[in-house]
Amino acid sequence: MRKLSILATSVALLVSVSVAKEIKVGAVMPMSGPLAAYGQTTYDGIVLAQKLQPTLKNGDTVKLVLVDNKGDKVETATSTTRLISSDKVTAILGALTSTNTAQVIAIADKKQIPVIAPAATNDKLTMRRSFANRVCFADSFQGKVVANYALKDLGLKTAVVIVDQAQVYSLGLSKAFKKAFEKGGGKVIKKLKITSGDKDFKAIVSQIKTMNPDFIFLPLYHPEASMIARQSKQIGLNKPMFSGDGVANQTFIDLGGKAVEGYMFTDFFDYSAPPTQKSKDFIAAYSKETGKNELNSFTALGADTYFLLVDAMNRCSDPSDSICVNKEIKASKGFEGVSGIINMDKTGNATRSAVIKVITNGKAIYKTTVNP
Amino acid sequence: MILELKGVTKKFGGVTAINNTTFTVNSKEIYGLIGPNGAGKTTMFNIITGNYQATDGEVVFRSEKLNGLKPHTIVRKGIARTFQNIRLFKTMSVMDNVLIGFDFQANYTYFESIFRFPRFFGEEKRIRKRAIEILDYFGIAEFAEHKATDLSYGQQRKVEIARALATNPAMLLLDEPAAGMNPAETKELAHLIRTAREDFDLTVLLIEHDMKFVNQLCDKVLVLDYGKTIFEGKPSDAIKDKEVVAAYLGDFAHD
Amino acid sequence: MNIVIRKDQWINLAIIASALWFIWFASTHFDEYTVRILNNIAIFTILAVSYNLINGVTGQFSLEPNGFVAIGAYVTALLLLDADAKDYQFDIESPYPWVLGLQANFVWALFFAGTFSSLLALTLSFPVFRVRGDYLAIVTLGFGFIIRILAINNPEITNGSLGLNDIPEFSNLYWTGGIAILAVWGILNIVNSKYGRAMKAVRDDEDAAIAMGVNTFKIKTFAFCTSAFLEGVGGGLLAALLTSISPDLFTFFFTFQLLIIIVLGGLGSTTGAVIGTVLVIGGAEWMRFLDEPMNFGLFVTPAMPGMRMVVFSLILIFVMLFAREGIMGKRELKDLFKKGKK
Repeated sequence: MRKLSILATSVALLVSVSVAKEIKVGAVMPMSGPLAAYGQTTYDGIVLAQKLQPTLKNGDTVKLVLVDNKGDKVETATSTTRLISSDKVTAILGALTSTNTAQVIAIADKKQIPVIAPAATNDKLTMRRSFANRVCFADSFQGKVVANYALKDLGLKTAVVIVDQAQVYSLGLSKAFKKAFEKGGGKVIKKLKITSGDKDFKAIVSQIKTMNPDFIFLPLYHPEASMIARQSKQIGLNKPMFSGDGVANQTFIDLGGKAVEGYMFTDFFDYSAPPTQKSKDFIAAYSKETGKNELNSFTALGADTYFLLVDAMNRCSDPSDSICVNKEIKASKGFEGVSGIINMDKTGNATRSAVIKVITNGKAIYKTTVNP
Repeated sequence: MILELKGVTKKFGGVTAINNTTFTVNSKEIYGLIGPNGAGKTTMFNIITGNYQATDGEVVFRSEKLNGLKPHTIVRKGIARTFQNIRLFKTMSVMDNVLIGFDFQANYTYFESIFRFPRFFGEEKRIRKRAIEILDYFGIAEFAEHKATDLSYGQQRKVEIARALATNPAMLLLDEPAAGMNPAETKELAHLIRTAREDFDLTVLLIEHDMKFVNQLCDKVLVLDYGKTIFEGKPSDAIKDKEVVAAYLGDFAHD
Repeated sequence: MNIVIRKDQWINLAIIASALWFIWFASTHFDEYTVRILNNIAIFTILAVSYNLINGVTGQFSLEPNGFVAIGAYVTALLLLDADAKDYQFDIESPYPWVLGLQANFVWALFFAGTFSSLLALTLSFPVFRVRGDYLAIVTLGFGFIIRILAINNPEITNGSLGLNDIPEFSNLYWTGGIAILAVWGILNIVNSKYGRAMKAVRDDEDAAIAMGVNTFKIKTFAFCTSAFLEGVGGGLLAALLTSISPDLFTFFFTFQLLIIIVLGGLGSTTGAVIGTVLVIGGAEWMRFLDEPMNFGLFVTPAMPGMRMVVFSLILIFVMLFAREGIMGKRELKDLFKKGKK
């Protein structure tokens, strides 16, 4: 047995001492801590993508280096520094939330390492930065999508917005929505404030009932959104409700129960309406790996960060040249991703479609795609 | 007259712990507070030290009214105490325990200690010298750097008294100093208190149960029962008093 | 007596000199990752030794750090960002004019951070320390929450949950390490003075301390305000190291982390707090290899993110079971070298 293992090791060594290089790509994700569920889901996409496309056109292999940031800012800073100075990665994928992604970018930008964020939507993230990129749409786009759909498709002219002032996501999205809605001729009657962790929204929903808007926009995460939905129905408030991708998960439906029938929300992607051939292939591969074909948006976006990166690397003569890679990322046009067609621009932002879903009979049913 | 209690009463809700007590302690007297358990002796101490406020009456020390003053202020006026169950600072050395007594007399500020101004060094040196002197007086200077709780019971009692003396008191309050001691240790303690009275110019007020000790040491005693004074005078006369005997119900037979 | 003091001072100077040399050496020779960890260690050392002063030395159970660190971080950030940067950043509400006007250099920013925290601590001291009883823990716990809520709910001052970004990166090993050395030196000086003695006396037996003339209210207040000052400064250094801060940085978990550090190092020991910081902050990083696939020769374990936290917790439990007083107990490093005093 010993001779065999020595032989095996020598062969492995010989094989690895070949001409092809190993390009390292860093990933900063919350794999433990309060955001672990999101982090793991997103990372699953990256891992599967790497499995499907492990080598570049020139034969170099891509190695993922994952660092767990526990959802914590100080850890994020340390993780990013480690990836750049110790592991010498060419690019970084992550982090998850806008605040932690901002931390990654703050450090990576100075070091000229491109960052591709899968799901951080805050508009300010890419401003005044040269190496920040994302595959998801920004809050301003999502706000516009909801505003236009409400005004043009549903004919709803007045709205009340509920803002969670403790969440960056909520603040950004509500601001974008208000701007777009009022630009299109709509009126935001009032912006009501809540704080995540709140459980009693009776005062809020009573106020809304009195104000009698055409619909309610809730740029919140699923815990608060589902509770507000329930408490609204309890007092007989039956106005149309709309959220962003913060409720795009099964937990929202579970928590909301009957109260979220007819609830509408935007999302990046829906597995039942795969937008590209890549989506179909990926869903098939995912199904083979996990036995499920309900591909989550986060997983799809995670995969897209990887695919987009590799695509850009393939257009560089030296794929480990971060500056070139960054340039090529921003030059990606018509990129066929798992979550849809992505057009990058020089600010690092992605122009892409959103989908609108409606909860019908306890399931999130795809309604339509909104193209930019 | 160094300490005067005039009509002092202490009530805790409905319970009267001390009932209209008046007595005086003269300078350099060794004065004993005795009585059965629960008579109010420790309460009396606590009123003098400022831990309790008298419900009624006055406490006058060196012609100054102590009522309403905070305990740590009263210490600085010249009254120090020890505790029945020896409350030394358990994590600190013998030296540090005694230094605590000196500390309010050390003249340097917080700022000066952080940045180690010269005054810090001068004052620390001064009080350390004095601390060693006191420990030496009690014959325990060799244990200065030992943890206080490593010493024997008798030695710890000495540390406690040394610590109290460090505050440079005019009056020393000793709460059952002989508790837990055998006859030999008790005799040594009595001798120590007597000589300390001379060497440190002290007045001593003590609470005790051990009548032999009280007899050896006290110039005068006050006998309390249920918060009321039932006798004031010489210890030898106290034993003969009918009321005192009744209160103790033959406790004296043991001694 | 004289000769002993001088020898002690030589040792102290030698330690400080080698620490300074190490700071220079690390800054110029170590890679960025290691430097970042060292910066973290330095900042947390400042926080740990000051937290240890109120909790360990004075024995007053407090849960204050996240509150004062937050204040220090925000004060520093607002003073370091110029009006332009603030104007650009503030996205929820426009900043108040006086907020825009806030500006100071790094030294002053840190000084104000510490002073402001200290003043808040002073106001807290009055209701809490005048009353006997263990209200400090609850009050400081609440204080931490309130500060965070205030940060979220006052976007005109703090930019709410978006936080403050692009803070100039002033912190480097010279600042963090230098201030850490000063902090440790200062705290040790306090501990080895009549004030430190009084603090320990308050911890050991407050009634006896009072009976010996110690003004316990004053002593507790001194300890608390000193802790607050250094925690504020530490917060400022943290802000200038991360270059971005937000309310979610300063949760109870932040305080909890410091509590672990000082308990592990030995509650009451300043050198213990330093050792605890190195072990916890450095150790958590060092243990990252547990998160990754591990090659044991014959088999390879898969990546298990979070494994290092599991191992870390197990070590903590182990230490608490078998060395309940922490690593140093109440002793300082120099006590270990004292010849067989028994």
